[in-house]
Order: sequence, then C-alpha cells, then structure tokens
Amino acid sequence: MNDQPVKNDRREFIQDGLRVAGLVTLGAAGGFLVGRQGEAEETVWQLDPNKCIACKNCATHCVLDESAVKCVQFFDMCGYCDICTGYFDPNYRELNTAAENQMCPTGAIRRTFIEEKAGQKFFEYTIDADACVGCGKCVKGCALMNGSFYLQVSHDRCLNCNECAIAVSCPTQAFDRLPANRPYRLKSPALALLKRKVKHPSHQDARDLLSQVYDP
Amino acid sequence: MRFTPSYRSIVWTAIVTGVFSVMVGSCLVFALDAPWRKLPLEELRFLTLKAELESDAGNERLQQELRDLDVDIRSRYFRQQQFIKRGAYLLTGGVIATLMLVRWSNNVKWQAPDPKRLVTPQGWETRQNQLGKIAAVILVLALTAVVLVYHFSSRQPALSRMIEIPATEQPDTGVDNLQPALAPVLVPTQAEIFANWPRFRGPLGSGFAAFDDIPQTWSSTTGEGILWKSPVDLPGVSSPVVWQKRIFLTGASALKREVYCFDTDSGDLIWTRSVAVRDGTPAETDVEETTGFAAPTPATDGQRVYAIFASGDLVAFDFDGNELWSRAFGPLDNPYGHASSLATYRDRVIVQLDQGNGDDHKSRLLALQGATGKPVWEVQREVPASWATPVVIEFEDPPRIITAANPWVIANAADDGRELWRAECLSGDVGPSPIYVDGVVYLANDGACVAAIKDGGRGDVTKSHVLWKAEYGLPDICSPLVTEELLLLVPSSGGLASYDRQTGSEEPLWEQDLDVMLMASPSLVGNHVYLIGENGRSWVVKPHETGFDQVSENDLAEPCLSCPAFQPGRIYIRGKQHLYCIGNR
Amino acid sequence: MRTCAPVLTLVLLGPFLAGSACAQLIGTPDFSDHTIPTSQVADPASNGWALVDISALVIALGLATYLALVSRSRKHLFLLTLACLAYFGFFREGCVCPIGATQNVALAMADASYVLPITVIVFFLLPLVFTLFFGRTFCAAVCPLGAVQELVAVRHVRVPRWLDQSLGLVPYIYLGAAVILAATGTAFIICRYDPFVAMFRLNGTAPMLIFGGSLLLVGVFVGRPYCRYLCPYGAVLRVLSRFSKWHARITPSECINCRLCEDACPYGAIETPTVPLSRDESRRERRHFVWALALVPVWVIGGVGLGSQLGEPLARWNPDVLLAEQLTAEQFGLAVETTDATEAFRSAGREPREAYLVADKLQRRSRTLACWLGAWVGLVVAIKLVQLSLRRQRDDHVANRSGCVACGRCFRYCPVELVRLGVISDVSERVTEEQP
Repeated sequence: MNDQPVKNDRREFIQDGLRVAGLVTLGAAGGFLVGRQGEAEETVWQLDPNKCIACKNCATHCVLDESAVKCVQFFDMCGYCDICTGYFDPNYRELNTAAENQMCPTGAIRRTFIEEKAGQKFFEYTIDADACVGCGKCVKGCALMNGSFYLQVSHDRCLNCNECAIAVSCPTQAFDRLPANRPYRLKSPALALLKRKVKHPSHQDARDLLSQVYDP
Repeated sequence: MRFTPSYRSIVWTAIVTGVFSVMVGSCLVFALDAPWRKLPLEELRFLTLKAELESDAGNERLQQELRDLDVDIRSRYFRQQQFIKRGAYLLTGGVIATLMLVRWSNNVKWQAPDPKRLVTPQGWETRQNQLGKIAAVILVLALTAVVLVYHFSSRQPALSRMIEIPATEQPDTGVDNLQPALAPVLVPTQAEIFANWPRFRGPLGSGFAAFDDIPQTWSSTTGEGILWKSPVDLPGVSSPVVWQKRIFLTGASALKREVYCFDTDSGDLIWTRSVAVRDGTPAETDVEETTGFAAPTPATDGQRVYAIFASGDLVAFDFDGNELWSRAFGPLDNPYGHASSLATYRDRVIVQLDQGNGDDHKSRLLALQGATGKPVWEVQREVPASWATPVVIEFEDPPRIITAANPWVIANAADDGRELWRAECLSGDVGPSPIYVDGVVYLANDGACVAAIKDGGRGDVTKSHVLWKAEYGLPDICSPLVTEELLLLVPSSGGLASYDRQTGSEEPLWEQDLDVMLMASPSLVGNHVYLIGENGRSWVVKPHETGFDQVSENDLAEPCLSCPAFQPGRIYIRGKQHLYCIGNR
Repeated sequence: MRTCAPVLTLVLLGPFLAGSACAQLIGTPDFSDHTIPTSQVADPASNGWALVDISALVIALGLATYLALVSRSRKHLFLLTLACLAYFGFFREGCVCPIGATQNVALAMADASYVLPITVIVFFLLPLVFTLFFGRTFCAAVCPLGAVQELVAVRHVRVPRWLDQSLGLVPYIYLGAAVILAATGTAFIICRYDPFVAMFRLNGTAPMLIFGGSLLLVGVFVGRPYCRYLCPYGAVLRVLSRFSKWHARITPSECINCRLCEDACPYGAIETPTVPLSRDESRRERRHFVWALALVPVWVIGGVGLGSQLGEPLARWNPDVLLAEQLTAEQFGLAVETTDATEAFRSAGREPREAYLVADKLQRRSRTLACWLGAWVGLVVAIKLVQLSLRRQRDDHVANRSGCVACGRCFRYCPVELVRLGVISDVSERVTEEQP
C-alpha cells in the first residue's frame, strides 16, 4: 500500500505531460490554421451555369424541401420571343397562358405582352422566385434558343451546408464555393453583356448585379 | 404548496401526447411520400388529360377540365407545402412534450436502487474484456467484408476490371498534359482498342463499328465518296486493319509475301516489307485458289503489327517497318490454305493454328510475346484444320479467348491458356468465326448449326449453356453479325437470313435473296448493315423483324472478298487490286 | 458553349421557329417605351452570426463545465442542454458543429487553398481544449446532437461491456475514413450522414429522417447511440478526456462504495472497484498484456494488408472515378443506359481517355490512402486490445474518463452528494450498515 501514492504521483506526472503535449499540438494546429487563413473570405455554394445541363437534380436533391436553387432570367440575353421554348410545352396548342400550353410545372413564369413591332409580338418572361422549384425545365427549353434562363443557388434560402447535397449529385460537377461577397455567377455571354450595360450611367441595377457576380 | 400531480396522470398525459406525435408523424411520412407531392404539372392525372387533349384537339370540355384540374392541383400543392411545415412544428412540439412527461414520470417514481440486487460476479470484468477483444476483431473484419461484398456486388464493374492503364511510370503531369504521359504505352488500353480497328472485323471481332459519320453511298465508277484508292501489289483476301493514321495490309503469291503500311489520309504507301521464308521450309504451299496465300488478316496492338501467311510464317514489325522477329510454323497441313486471322491480347499476339485431321495432335493455340515472339503459353487442340479467327474478351474475368473448330467451341483463359469451358456444336470445315455479344457467343457453320452459347461455366457446357440452336440458313464462309435484336447470317446459298438473337427459332425469321454471292462478312454501323458482294457491289441495308430495307446500293469496280475496316467517317475496303478509302469529303 | 446549341437544334424545332431565322442569339429588341430590366438576385442571408456563435460556444462550454464540475447541478445542466439544443440545433440548424468541422480542418490542413473561416477553427479547437482540462463537458450540454439524444434517454438498458467496447471502435474507423475523404476533397461523409440535422431543420429527405428517427428510438433504451458508437469527434474527445486535469466526479468527496450509483449511468461509464485477482489470474493477465503489446505492429501490418484491398471501394467516393467507370461500362455495352454525367461529358467534346487517366490517378491515390486507413484501423484495434488487457486497480466507483459525458445523472444516486445538498443528514439514511 505504501507505493500507492508514488504510483499516483507518477500517473499524474504522465498525465500532465500528455496534457501539455496535447495542448501544444492543438495550439500548433490552431496557429497553423489561423496562419493559413490569411486574407481568406467566407465562401458559399454556387453553381456554374456554363456547366449546368438542367438535369433536375437541383429540384430533388437539396436538403431543403423547396430547393435553394431557383431559375433566374437574364433579360438582356432574352429574345422576348412570342414562341418561348422555355415557357411553352413543345406540344403547345395555342400561344397563351392556358395550363395545357405551359411547361413550368409550378407556373412560375409570368408572360407579359410588351409591344408589337413589324408584325412580331414581344413578350417579357419573369420568374416568380417564390413559386420556382428549380427543376430547370425552362432552362433546358431556353437553352435551345438564347439560353437567358439559368439556375442559381439563391442565397436567401441556401443553408450553406458543409457538403452541398446537390453538389454531390450534380452530374457535371458544376457546384463549387464562391466568396460570400460575390456569391452569384452568370453565363459567360451574359457577363459580357452586363459589363457593357453598366457603362451606361442610368443602370444602377446593373451595377448592383455586377457587384454580386463572381468574375473569374 | 407545490403542485405534484399523480404518477398516473402524468403517464396518461404522456401517452396522449405520444399517440398524438405518432399520428402527426405518420401523417407527415405519408405526406412526404404521397403521389400528390409531385410537382403540380407532373401529376399523372394531369399528364393523361393533357395527352388526351392532344389527341382530341378542339375538345372544349376536355380543355376546361384540364384547366380546372390545373388550378386545383396547384392550390393543393401549395396547401400541402404549408401543411408539411406546420406538421413538422406540431410533431416537434408533441415529441418534446412526450419526452418531458416521461422524464417527469420517471422523476416522480424515482427510487434509489437497492444495492443488494446489484451483484457483480467474480471474474466478470476479465471475461467481458476477453469477449470484447474477440468482438472487436470480428467487428473490424465484418466491416471490411461488408464493404468488399457491397463493392463487388454493385452493378457497375470496377474500372480496373474493364481497362488497363499502362503501368509505365507517369510523371505527375496533371490533366492538361496527357499526351506525353501516354507516349510510352506498352499495353493498349481498351479505350484505344475500341477507337481503332486493330484486327479482323474490328475491336471485338464482331464486325461492329461504333463510329460516327460512316458514309452510306459511294461509287467507284463515278468516284462519288471515294477519298483515295491505292494499288496493292500482291493479291490476298486478308482485310485491312487500322491504328490511328496507319492501315496495315498483307498480300502474297506462291513465292512472295508482303506487309504494307498505308497512310489513312492520303493513301500513300508508307512502307512495304517482304517476308522471307526460313531456310529449309518449302517455298511453295498448296492452297485453294480463292483462299490464296494471304488470307489471314494481320493484327496490331498499337506498337507493332503482326502478320501470318499461308506458308506458316508469322512476323512482327514495328510501326516504322522494322522487322522485330519472325517465326515459321510451316508447312501447315491445311487443305485450302491457312486463313485464321491473328488477334492480340494486351502485348501478346494470339495464333489459332488448327491443322491436320484432329487425331494427329497438330492443332494448337498460342500466345506469343509481342515484343520478342517468345511463347507465353501454348495449348494443344484435338481438332482438325479450321479457318475461323479467335475472339479475345479482355473485360471478362478472367479475360478469355474463344475459338471455333470442329466440333468444339473452346474458351481459354487469355493469361495462361487454361481451358475455361467447351461446347460441342460444330462440324465440317469451320470457316465462320465466332462472335461475342453481351455475354453470349454466336457461331454457325454450314452442315452443322447456328448456336448461341452463354459464356461461362466449367468443362463441357454443351448441355447447360447452349441457349438455342437452329439448322437453316447456315453460312460456310461469312461470320455471323448481331444487331440489337437479330442475328444475321449469310447462308452458303447466298442472301441474308435472320434469327431472333435472344430466343432463336427453328427456322429463320426471314431469308432474303441478294443477286450476288457474299464472301466478306457483314458489318454493322448503328442499325445499318454493310454487305459487300464478291463482285464489288455492296448494299447498306436496315434489317428488321420481317426482312431488310435497302438504304443504298453502291459499286466497286473490282471483286472484293475482304471485310471492310472502319474509322470515324471512313471505310477502307480492299478490292482485288486496290485499297479504297470511302468517306465524306 | 450553350450559345452554339441553337445551330444544332434548329432542325428539331420546327414549330418554335416560325418567323425567326436566327443562327446565333436572337437579339434583344429595342422597345419604344420599355426598358429592359436587369435581373436581381437575392441578397445573401446575413452571416453576422459568427461572433454570436463563438460567444455562445464559449459561454455554454464555461457554464457546462461549471455546472458539471463545481455546482454539480443536474437540473441546471439539463436546462443548459435544452438551451444549446434550441440555439445550436434548431435555431442555427445544426450547422455550426465541431463534429463536421473535423472534416473542414482536415481539408484545410491538406489543401492550402481551402479557406477555413475562423468560426470553424474555434468550434473545432475550443471543445478539445476544454476536454483536455475538464472532460467531455462539451458532450454534456453543448453539442446539439448529444442534447437531442440526452433528451430521449429515458429507459436505459445496460449494454454488455464486451459489446460496448467493440462497438466503441466504430467511431475511430469512421474518423479515419472521414479525415481521408475530407482531406482529399472527395466527400464530407460526416455531414452527409448526419442523423439529426434534418430534424433540426424540420425538413429533410425521408432516409435522413428515418435514420435519425431510428437512432432516437434506439436512444430511448441505449443511451446516446450516436455519441458512443458513431461520433468521430467524440472519438477524439474520448482520447483527450482520458488526460483531463479535472473531471466530473460521481461523489463530491469520498466514495463510500455503497454501490448505489452502479446502475445510474445510461452510457455505461461507471466503473466499479476491481476484484483482486488470484496470483495465477494476474499472471495470465500480464501475459495477455505483453502479447497484446507485442502484436501491435502485426495488427498495423495486417491492417495495411486489409486496407490494400479497399482501394477501389474508397475510390468510388470520387465522382470522377464513377464517371470513368460509367463511360467504360457504356463503351463495352455493360451499361444499358447512359447517365446525365456521361452525356454531358461527351457533349462537352471530351475524350473518355481523359476521364480514365484522371480516374487512374485517383485510384492510385486511393490505394495508398486505403493502406493508410487500414494501418489506422489496425492501430486502433491493437490499442483496444492492449487496453482490454491492461488491468488497473480501482478501489472506488469512478466515472470512466473517456466514456463519461458529464451529464450529471449519477449525482443524485450518491448519498454523499445528498448529504452535501442537505437532502439527508447522514449517508446511513440511504445505506444500511450491513452493506459490505
């Protein structure tokens, strides 16, 4: 029984030693990580519309019941077509907003008549983000023409999961992380158009958008 | 005074909240899986109505019904979204309440344990620890086993079982810089093999060309579709083989044997090499006139080209025309002249050397090292002379070589030559080669039968693996061809015959005549079959269940007995005197 | 890329193209009185929570430590658990989480270009430091995953020690796999298979909810199944907690070995005093120990051997490898249908060989990594065997430092504690004298 305290002392000494070693390791790791951080910014998930093939996974794979991915219309690339391949079902019967003619499964695209010019009617197509489920049907349809519809992770909804469930399932690996202060992307032709547009002083909204867009 | 409800009342409340939570939970699970959770316009009812409306255009009532349904399902969709959200809150609340109540009931009824009942038996800890050790080991092994079983039972075979990426040291050049890393390829990858036409009847020997833009019309009289034609000095019925920018061809007379290398773009002859016979072998071999001295098609592995002649001389050249080695197997005891073409497996050349009468132990199958010509393995075959070409299936496990002869169809392991299975179904002089499609070997020979044999099994599989057999429309020279549904044969009497390739039947589904005899085996491009008659006339036809439709008829101004070779956008055909390149300009 | 598409698809689009004969983009028309709007994107949700999160963590950890070690109040600890569950779990939706942070840290260590926010560093390190000094007080009340299981642990059954010990290996294996997959940037499996995050969000796919729900159901009877048999961060905490300076104790002062607490712990973390062994038995024990120690390298090498078989399964986590496999399978007719991925790959005009070479490189790497993983698993098993052969003399009822999550359930079982609290005046009120 006499050697018990000695044994305990020894054990405590070893434990102290290991604790100090652990602390030093953790400190070193922390220092290393903080040191590496440098100018680092926070990042958020975004998809690259140039790679997107509108496969529908965005609608079904997001951890949110209603996906964080929504369709965006880039008006400056839109042809304002009467026969919109993103709006109308390929087997449409008439060019009107009736249910049997629409392609969008939730009816999230609004079609507004703008003007008739030289016998051609022009319509504006606006996405109602609240109703959009990000299925990309219109994106696929529009890609046949101008491709002004494209999908984006909407950052008012995205939870910024550590591992994005859509990214895991994306067939073209179009998802990656962008700096949080420029969390959106445009298709490359759209970006060029936007850059031209901001030069005009009246387009504050274009400048707002450009400030949100990641420019590679 | 503090209010303490009775134990019973707490438990009952807990039960009520618990039942409530379960109900809400099951509602939610049902809601999560319910059909009406589909996107509004993808609901089945809507889609059927839409289809109905399409077929019955102008039906106002149907149109109105569809619109009403649309409004209905849309509003329900958004109601359901709300429902689920509220349900989730409700469930959380219910579960929390239940838990709280259960804990509370526990506390109310809490009693300190009676230590008398807690007895730890002697040696308990030691025993538990021993058990724990065993359990730990079992656990780890079981986990590994589960992973492996899951891995190997997955539907998709692992990459390493399908392709071989050269084992040469690859400097870490990154993805952008692939070309230099690939330069010292020793073994062709399956991808490369499939991108080329390295042997008789293409990559798998099945006459199937998976390339785009293959021309369908040409004419050597008008010159339409002919990109170039180059004369070939010596005659031969061997077919061209193609690797990237090079076409290899053989030709031979009774006294001379030559290997040619042409440029795919210009048709220029890059090199010609003549092959000498070894001292002591008779310079002349007896052959039947149509077979000739250069019937076997050469083969290439992307590094070297191998050629064999009726004299029994096997030779290997590198792509620059340097002779690497040669071996003389002759003279061969073959009544018509040796015609089995060569095949390759990885860096080896496979030779089917069937001769004699079957009892004289002359027939064999060999694998020779491509670089040196040294034999890797050799198996004896108790079969008489045959004229069929082996097929090599690299992506099966183990990789295998399938040969046809009288009477055995035999599968040998490509690595060591050991026999995997054999089936007895042929007889007579076996000319048509076997083909392998989707795990089934198809063969046919005049006077015997046409048979589909499921690859696999051990030993004699005649009884167990022959899927079907039939006895009409049998070919004597041309090998079979398989389309998506059909098995096509070129009967010895001419024309084209067809069977359902899955089920077979007693008689062909149809037989249709062509006014010319075919010597070249048919080829398949997409769903079009390319047939070349012995007088050079050729057809592109589209077979179906009841016959074939002719897509085009083309002519070549000279006889043709060889199979065409394909490359994206091009066909190479060897006529009696010329090599033609057909393509879209 | 997409702008070229119209050229090819014009032919297919008979009905759509009446009147428009464009080859490339259809120009946006000039309207007489309509300005073309610019699309607007939603502003990102504010990420100003970092500071709040960090301070919440520091406060919660400090409080949990104080409540478990000093004030020894199970009730307050439980309230703190609820608060943390509400904040870190339901309010912050379970995504500021040290468990997942393990992967981010692994990736940041391996990949200099990966940006690690300061929150993640703090969330990863702070609980470790606390554990090094005070035991697993993070698990006690701060971790939302622990909290949700703590809540449901109401009717515990004792897990046999052998099973508990062997299943306890899984977290280390999980940790090894997660670190390897994360460090190579392949996958974040801890997040992918987080059982409770769907509940925190009140939203999720059916498999996630079912997995989480069944874990909770098991958790009613087997205390904290995720923490004990899965949690990879818990695996690290277990090791660190072993060396903790101060640790939650069952009794506030002296153990009187009344055995009342023996069955109190739903997590099987209370160790009873050891029974002295006979000379023969202890000799055998010592022999076992020496053997186990000697076998450590054998286990590690065996693990490498076993791991070398796992290269291919490991590589399959990588989408590039799956793509190459699918491409090959399609080429050989082994796959009946093409997938979106292969279609996209081909239509991008890329060569399958590119994919093979990338996949080959990844597979080679996986083979090496699988050997490392095997070595790690071998080491873990070996250490477990050593540990199970090592016998330490215990005279009192003590909390197993690695297993104890400092939940404080055992406090009220201890008569000494009850005396301290003034519930009873003397231990004899609970313990009759004839107790051994």
